Amino acid sequence: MSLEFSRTVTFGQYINVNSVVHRLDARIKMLSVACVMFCTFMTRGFVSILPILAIAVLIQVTSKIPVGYTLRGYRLLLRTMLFIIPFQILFYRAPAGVQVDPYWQWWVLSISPQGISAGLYTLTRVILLYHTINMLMFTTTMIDLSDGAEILFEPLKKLRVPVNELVMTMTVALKFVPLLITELERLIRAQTARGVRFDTGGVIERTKKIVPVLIPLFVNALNRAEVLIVAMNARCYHGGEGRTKLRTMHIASTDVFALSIILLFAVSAAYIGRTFGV
Amino acid sequence: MITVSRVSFDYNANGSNPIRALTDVSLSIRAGELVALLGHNGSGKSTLAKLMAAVMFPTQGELSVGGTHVTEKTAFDIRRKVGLVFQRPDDQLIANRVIDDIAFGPENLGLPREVIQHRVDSAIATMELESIRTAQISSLSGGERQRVAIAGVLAMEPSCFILDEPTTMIAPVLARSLLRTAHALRDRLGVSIIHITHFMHEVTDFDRIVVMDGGSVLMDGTPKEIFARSEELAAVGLDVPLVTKVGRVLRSRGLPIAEPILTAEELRTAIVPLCSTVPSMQTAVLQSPDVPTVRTDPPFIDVQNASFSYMKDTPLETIGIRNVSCSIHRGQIVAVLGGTQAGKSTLIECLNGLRTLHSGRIFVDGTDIHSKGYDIGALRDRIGVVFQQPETQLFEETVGKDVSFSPRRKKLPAETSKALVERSLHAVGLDYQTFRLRYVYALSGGQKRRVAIAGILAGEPEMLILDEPVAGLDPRGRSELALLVKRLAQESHLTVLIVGNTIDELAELADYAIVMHEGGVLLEGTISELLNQAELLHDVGLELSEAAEIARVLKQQIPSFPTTILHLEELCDTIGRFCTQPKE
Repeated sequence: MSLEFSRTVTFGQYINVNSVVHRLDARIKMLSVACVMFCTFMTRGFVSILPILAIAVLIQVTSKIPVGYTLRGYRLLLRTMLFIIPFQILFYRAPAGVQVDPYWQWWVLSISPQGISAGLYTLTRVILLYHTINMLMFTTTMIDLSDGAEILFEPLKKLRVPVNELVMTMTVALKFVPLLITELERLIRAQTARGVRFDTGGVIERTKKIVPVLIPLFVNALNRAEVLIVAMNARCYHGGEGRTKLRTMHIASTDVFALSIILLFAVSAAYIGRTFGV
Repeated sequence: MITVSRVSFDYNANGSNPIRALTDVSLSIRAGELVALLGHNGSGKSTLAKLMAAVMFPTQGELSVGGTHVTEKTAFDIRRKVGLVFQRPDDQLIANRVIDDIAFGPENLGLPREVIQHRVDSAIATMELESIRTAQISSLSGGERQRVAIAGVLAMEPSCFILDEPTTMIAPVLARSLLRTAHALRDRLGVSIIHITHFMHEVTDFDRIVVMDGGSVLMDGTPKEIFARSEELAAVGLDVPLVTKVGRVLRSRGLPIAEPILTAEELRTAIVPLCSTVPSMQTAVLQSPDVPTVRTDPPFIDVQNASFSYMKDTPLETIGIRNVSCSIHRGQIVAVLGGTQAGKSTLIECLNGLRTLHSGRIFVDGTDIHSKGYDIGALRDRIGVVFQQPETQLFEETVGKDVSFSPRRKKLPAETSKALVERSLHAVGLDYQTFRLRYVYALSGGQKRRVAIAGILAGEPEMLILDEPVAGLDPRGRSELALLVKRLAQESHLTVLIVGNTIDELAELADYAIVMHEGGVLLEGTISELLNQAELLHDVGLELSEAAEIARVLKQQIPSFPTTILHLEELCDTIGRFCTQPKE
């Protein structure tokens, strides 16, 4: 077991390399991501997904995030998918009007070129979805995300959803993530130094080993939370009412340009998928 | 500015078991005053601070700030006027980026955007955070975080700052810079500052000192008045700064020194006119360095050109240690010293295989621990590490269970295990019968730390590593634990490695010391050899013992003054010799 989670877990980490993508307005980026995700679900095959792939490559290149770093994040995902995809291939049921010529067949199980192609297509879609969200996280700070969300979800206030408070909760929760990761690493190091091997043993045994780490982690987190409440009070926090903001968001021409390009590609992907079914 | 009149406070006041924290406290703080609030843990000083900042309210008595009576209704207004800075900056930073955190307070006040911008900019300028204004807080060092925390309070434009033990958990160098900041804020902005601390030597240049004990005010006066009452302070377990004691001893030996001396500079001014300018031969002989014993047997641990980087091969890579070589022999006591970010903790994590070196080698008993098939688990049983603040890593309900964790894990027979636990608890000065069934969370900070050390000892290590064992405790806890570690190191025949940022009574035990700086080894040798380079040690952020620090300051004007001094007695004798030399 690695003792540097922050090194191997790349998901959700902001990488400060200041590219065009980093400078885009958070709301535009969130809308784009939503749009790309929606259109990805509208694709029907390898042809229609090509424009989505083009977007992914475009963002990767313009964001200046090292390719190796992005790829490192895929390890866990790929491992999970390698476990799931074979089932999808084995249990493949062709939609009406599609000719299936299986290499091998037994009961409901079969292996066919159509099944394999469908499996690979699913894999591509999942990777692209993951990539899209990952790129949003790599290039956008948490505060931009929460500010963006606060504005995008503003209409929900009419439905009495406490948007400001929810966003503040999210901000504080996110503040704790790096702290808790550091704390977790520290506790695991201390346990390892006391001779505990986290990388051996069965499921039950491993679970047992985690308990001594989780207890102090929770105790310390609760203590911290208690102090944080006092700290927020001392700095006059009293909910979202009457609160003003230092940060304002501006939509620039680059934002409009970026959104148009992404819309163009994404919608064309959906259109090809819907119309030609490929 | 702040008036406290006859205030008492109970925790859990409406519950069945109220706990009294303050009794009948009266106090008034004037505008622009720099006040120190001193006392032990449990003396009520933090409670008083929270009442003054209107985050808690008195059970009895009255408090007013700037003429406004403190109640739950006025709390919002009071909090704008009284800013609170906490012990650990991580506890009070809310946003992810520096600038957003500083803006948090003014945003809560509902100020217009331009005003917030202006306040944030001036707080950033005052705290010199220009270069990191948009940085992620999680990427900052401890000292930077503390500055951000203060800037966040500064942006509220309070007329009073309360610093709640900000120096307890941080390295001495950072503590000094924090105190400079406190002075600067008062001088430039005219705000009053209440600094809560355990440490006497920090507050010698304050306007006023308030000493608390057992929930009431014990003394209230200028530093000169307070430190002249050393017997009364000693009665409640508080100590005057070492330099004050030196002054007293010298005066009792007939030197014309005014009472009380508060700083090394003051002592220097008093002594220089009395000194002979010619270095004395006698001194030179007396100060011959100890001859280090050269060990010819193969070392227990041999580190060769070790290097390690954090987050290697990512955009966030930082160096932990680089090209470190050193060797440790069986039965030796070794000190690894250095300021913040020196690489000390990284080195010990590499020593017991928690981190794998990126280059270089570590041999234990002649075997490379990175070689294939090496049993790293067995190595960790042989090298016990007590990490920083080990009390936060305890996880069992009772003391007995926590200490017996290692024996139980090794599946030792119940009898052996019990004997080990008993012996380990005894070694840290806790009685087995009394503490075996005690709940861990009900122990004091110092006791928890002892339990954590006992837990490591119960694993029967051959070598014990202690990472800053006294950091974060109050002076009483520090001296008790230092005494314990001293006894352990001397009586147990273990190989001991002590990590620290101060040449104190622990470092002094070491047969051999290594000074690290920016990941590499800067100096090595016996403690006296190191102290010859006092000025260099000072420059790399290593704290000297109070006596050595005084010697360093004296040497600046008395060039032949030796800096290889560790104790009060030694210092007084040396000064005595310098002062009795006939003038030529």
